[in-house]
Amino acid sequence: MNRREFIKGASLGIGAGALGAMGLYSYTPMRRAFLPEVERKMTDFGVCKSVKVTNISETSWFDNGIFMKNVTGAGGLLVDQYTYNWAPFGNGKGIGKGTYDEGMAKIKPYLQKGQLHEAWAIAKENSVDADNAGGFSCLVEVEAMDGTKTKYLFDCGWNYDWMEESFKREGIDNMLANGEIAGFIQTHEHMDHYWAFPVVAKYAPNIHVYTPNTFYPQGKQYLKDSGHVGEWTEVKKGLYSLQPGVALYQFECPIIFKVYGEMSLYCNVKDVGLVSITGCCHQGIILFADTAYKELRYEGDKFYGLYGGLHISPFDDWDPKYDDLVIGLKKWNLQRVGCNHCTGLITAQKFVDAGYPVVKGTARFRSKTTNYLGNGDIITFPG
Amino acid sequence: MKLENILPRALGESDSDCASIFTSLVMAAHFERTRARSLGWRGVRPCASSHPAWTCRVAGAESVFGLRFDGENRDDSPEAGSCLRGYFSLYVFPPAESPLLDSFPLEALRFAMSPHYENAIREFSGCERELLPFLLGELRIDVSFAGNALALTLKAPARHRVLAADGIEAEDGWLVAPGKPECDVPAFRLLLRLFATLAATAEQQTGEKALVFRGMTSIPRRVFHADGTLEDCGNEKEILLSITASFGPSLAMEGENLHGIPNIPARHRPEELEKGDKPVLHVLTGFLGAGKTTFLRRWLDFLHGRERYTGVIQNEFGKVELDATLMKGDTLVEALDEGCVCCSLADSLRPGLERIIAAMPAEQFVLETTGLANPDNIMEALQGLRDLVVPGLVITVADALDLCGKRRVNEHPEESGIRRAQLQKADVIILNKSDMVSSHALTQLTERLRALNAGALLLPAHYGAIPFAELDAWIDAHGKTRLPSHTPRLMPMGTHAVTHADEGYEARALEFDGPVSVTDLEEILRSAGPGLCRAKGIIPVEGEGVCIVQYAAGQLEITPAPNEKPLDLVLIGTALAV
Repeated sequence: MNRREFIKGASLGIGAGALGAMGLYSYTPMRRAFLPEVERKMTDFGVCKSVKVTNISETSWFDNGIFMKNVTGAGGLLVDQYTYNWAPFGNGKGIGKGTYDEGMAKIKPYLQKGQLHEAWAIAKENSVDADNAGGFSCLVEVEAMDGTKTKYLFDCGWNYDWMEESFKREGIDNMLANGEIAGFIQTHEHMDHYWAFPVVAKYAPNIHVYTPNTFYPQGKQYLKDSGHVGEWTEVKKGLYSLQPGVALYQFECPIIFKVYGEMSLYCNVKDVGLVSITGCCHQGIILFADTAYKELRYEGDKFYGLYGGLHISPFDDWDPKYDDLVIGLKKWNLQRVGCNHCTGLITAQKFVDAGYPVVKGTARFRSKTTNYLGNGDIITFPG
Repeated sequence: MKLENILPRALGESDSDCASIFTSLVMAAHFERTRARSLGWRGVRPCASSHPAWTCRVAGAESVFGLRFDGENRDDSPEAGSCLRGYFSLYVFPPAESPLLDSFPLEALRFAMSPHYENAIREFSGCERELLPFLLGELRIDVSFAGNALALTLKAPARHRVLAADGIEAEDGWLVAPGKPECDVPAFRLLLRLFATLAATAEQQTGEKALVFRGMTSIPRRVFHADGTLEDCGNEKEILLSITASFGPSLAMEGENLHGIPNIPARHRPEELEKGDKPVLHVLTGFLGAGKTTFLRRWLDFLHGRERYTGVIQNEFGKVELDATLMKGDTLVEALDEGCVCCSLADSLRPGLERIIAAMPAEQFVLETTGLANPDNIMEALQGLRDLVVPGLVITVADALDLCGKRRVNEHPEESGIRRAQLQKADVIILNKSDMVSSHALTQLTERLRALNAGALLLPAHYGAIPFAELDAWIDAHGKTRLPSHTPRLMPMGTHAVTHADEGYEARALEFDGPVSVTDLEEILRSAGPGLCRAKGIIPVEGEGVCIVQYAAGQLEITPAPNEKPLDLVLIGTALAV
């Protein structure tokens, strides 16, 4: 009898004694005995009543062909973003030959005076395809259990002109100037999420800024050069609580264009479940969801809602049939999804076709599809 | 060795710094897919339901590997200076049907034969308990607090054997005779490919060549008894082999007896298609109106979502830039208009390729041919472009509706001419619009296509959507052999591959001054005659405004496109009465 036939028999009871007696698996010499089994950590980070997200801009760049031309022309995805000669860090030397310092030297006099349109105009002359730049930014409003509302600005976009226009459209400029926004969350250092920071600093130089603690020196310097003078919290790997029911989570991961670390926002909505807000989710949606499952205690153990750009994974899956965001998300039984930005137009369409609870947008202000929660659109959790 | 190039912060901030280092090494290697693949990576899946963990595949190994981060501790011994040592358990999961599993512990085989196996591997973190019989080795990452030294060490039994003191008895005799090994797994050898891929990755990330050492220790072999007790075997040893790839000053542990060897053994040697020295050019064919552009847009969405930037060269038969208009903003498109690359434009393909490669030096390009192109002729032309590109897949989009359409009894459209050539030359056949024919017809069509081209991957599709990663897997599957399309086909003397000119295809352009009614449009298509295969254009339609008009396989599709500039309606077919 061969081993496979034996096992088939054993499952029917014959020989089961022999198998059972083997102490199953305790004989592998490579097992590390000293480590205790880890159960789910399930940190209780409180609850909030509701969350509202206003999409200020999800269009990071307007023409993918131009963007790809820039990236490949500068030498690819490994190149440091500050050397692309993308605005505002243009030095006039052409694609792939920029530096932060040279670019900053050209615009700094204008930044100091708050003349951002002029600064961008200078940058435009010295950089490549500045008009293709847009940006990613949204406003997150959290309603606490007592009804108090707290606003957070989540990323700030790329193009000064575009973001100024977008901020004005949604009234963000006034909110910033009036001190209505409690904190500014910078998810990661990528240009399309971060480089319009001077627009934030112009209206609210004192705003409390949260960044991953893994910004590179240029990114840290940019905060200062933009005129920021307020508190700055550098969030370490793992969970960082902002208020009851609201926490940041910093994922340590290297990202293309020489960026490191990305934060996402988890909100625990009372009686509803977990709501996650992401910038790009470069760590990958699978890891992102697994981490929430392991680390956090949330209402009803339910993964309720999602907003933002959704990268499935930084890797190819080893099983080709699973290399699909639609399949990747299936496990979580989401109730409300607002996707956009780096999700992919056709992936969004596939979500809709597959019957996912995608909240449709209005395709205004240069957003390309109603399957995206587009520029100027709002999503609330619960719906 | 500068640790800050891998992890840009000081060590000691978390209790899982070595997990962060591992993540950083592997993720950074995957920024560019070609790099990752030429290092040997064949897919990674992170999971974290219990411990940080990963499953992955590497080139040259049939098994899936699991790595689980177990923890780390600080070592301040004088031998190593101040360093952090992180431990990962290594698991090997052979395919359930692999004969290799017969050398694994019976408990491993039992679990592999259960329906839970596949899912347990995918959800590795959280299923480690059930998967323990597959635990075969250990990976250690040592890193100095000074940030100037890093070492990766694999340790595993040369042969993992556990003796069954009382044997295991089957109905017809001993399955394992008393005193003989219940399992006999070449653990170290199985894990070596994984280690080699990791070590090569670390070489690339640190920019340094690793110093490689091997070591050997032994532990008592274990023996189990029928009552379930385990004990050390008095006279037999289990040999533990180790291999270390070290960067910067040595971080060896006390008592480690190491011997230098020149190189990382079992390192992956990439094939031409993986190396990425030259961009890959895929050829997309398919008969008129089969859905090539729809398929291409979806594929690009998949690729670009993974930062695999891909440029497109489009060629249309007839003077219309509709396809390029549809792709606007998606990617960089080089349009080669009027005529067909497979015959009249063979000479313009080179300058077109040169232009797009110069504008966008991407890893791959897709040549979308006209619906009338014969890939035989294109593949011949591509041989002359090997200084610019490496030929990739020939993908043929087939129109299930067209191929199942009404014809005379026992006459099938794919049996002649250009359709046949496109299907025969394909590495991959996308059976588009498969939702629009009955499952019976689809089965019959699939059989006919198999008979026509047994070597191709056949994927049914609805609006051009397929599991796109299957295309990569298909290329992998042919890493060591030729893709079917790369096999040269010698034509008999005095003949040439069929072209659309031979078959009398022509294109006619119609310009409209004002809006056309749908009825008029249908009439135009009807009166063009039975030879009409395809019509497309952007024209004003009564009551709808400017619309994209597409006609193929008897189906007329009108989609409003208010922002587009009108383009002539082009009719393509044979003996057109226009």
